Amino acid sequence: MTPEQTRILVADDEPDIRDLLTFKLGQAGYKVQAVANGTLALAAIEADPPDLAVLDFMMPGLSGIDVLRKIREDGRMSGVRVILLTARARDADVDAGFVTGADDYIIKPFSPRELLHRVNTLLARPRS
Amino acid sequence: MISPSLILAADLGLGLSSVVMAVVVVVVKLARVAAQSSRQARVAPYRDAVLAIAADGDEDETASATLRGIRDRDWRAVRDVVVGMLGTVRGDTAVSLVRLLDARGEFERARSALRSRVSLRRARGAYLLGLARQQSDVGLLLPLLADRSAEVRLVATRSLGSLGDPTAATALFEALGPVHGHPGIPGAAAAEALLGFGTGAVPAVLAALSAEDATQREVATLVAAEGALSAAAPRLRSLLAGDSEPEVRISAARALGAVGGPDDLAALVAFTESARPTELRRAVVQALGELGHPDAAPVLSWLLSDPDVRLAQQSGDALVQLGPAGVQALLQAADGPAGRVAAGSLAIARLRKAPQVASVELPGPRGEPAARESGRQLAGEPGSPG
Repeated sequence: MTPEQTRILVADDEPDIRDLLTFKLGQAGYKVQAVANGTLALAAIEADPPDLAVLDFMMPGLSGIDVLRKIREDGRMSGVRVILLTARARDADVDAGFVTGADDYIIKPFSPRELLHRVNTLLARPRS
Repeated sequence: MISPSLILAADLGLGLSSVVMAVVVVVVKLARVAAQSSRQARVAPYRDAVLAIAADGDEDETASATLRGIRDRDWRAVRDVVVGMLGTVRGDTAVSLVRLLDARGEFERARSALRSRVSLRRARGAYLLGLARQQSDVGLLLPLLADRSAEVRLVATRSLGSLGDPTAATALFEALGPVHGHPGIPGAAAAEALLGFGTGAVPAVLAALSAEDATQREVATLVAAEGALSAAAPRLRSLLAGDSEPEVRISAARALGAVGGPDDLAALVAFTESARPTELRRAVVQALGELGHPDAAPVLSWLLSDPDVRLAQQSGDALVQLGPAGVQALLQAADGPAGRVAAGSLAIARLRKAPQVASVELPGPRGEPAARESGRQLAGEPGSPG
């Protein structure tokens, strides 16, 4: 699958980060949809599951981990690859992310270049 | 008696003041929206340039050159976006954003702002210098640890943590106590900053474990635990055994759980006795779980029947952390007097997808034959601890 055929959902309540991720991933050729909270993210994923979702851990309403839990519990969405993006760097938070089913976990402040590499690597793997 | 005209006048006055207040609120909100729109309009032509730097580092410096040359009025709006981005990215892109801010004179202005009479400007200056990460600014930030504004002290603490210069460690510890009549810097923020200093701060942390000030000792135990500072273990044992402050002993117990070893088991177990303070016992139980030594299983099993329900539950969680020995102890306890607590701990561990219980057949509801049989086959039931 080429980047042009790959859809990525970005969910973050900070507009600057949303714009930055949209810009970086869009520049790499991915089709990016950005939303401002977890509720909108879940609705977008339910409506049309993307290939990958980059979810902020802490968002108003449904958090990134809440969204992750819901999509892992639902067979129609469980194949969506998920990267959690967060300022929460404690081991317990990272553990919670992976235990809930995150494919990767990126801690803010992050390197946009590294994020793109991780997205590329994750998308190159077959879906579990 | 109050005349009706006076009541009417009072009513009119109240009504008028309500209308005026409502108008003021609306005007202020409209002004804010207008200012926000104006700021966004000024940023809009340059937003892609900012994103290009933040996303890519702007290797050919085209975007940076554009932003270096824009009018000051526009730059003031763009600057806030650049500063916001700088707080979320690292690596080459952060370096490029720092270069841009430097070229626009923002860091020189931030250094000057540290002397401002307005606390917000001092805090903003300290924040920017933290983002700049230039070690030469450490000396400028240190005096702010004793600033009269609590917000400035907090921002200075965090910025020193960002700069990562361990020579500031001792000053951070000293700033925990009251300075010039002001409360010290918050312990959690100090601990976070100290952890950012890495191994260079170890001598200061070890020294602070023996400081006269209890807050310094407590924060040092936090840093020792989070930083996995095994060299602190001997001093942590002393603090647990005999510090004058209960909070320090509790903190030392938790830290020993993180950095201690099998030799600490006996010392920790001694503090689970029922005569010990409740919070200390709970901290010790958590520490035993953290240590993860199977020899802690008997005492933790015993504590499943403790009258302190929270401590009993924590003992169950700690048993799970011990691995097979602890899980087996829980299975044994599941059909005894502490069966509800034991079964609850196992069930919660399963919900948390704890690997220790991944392949374990959990007991059914209490009284179920299989669980009873399992209990009989395994070792004796725990009695009620003293």
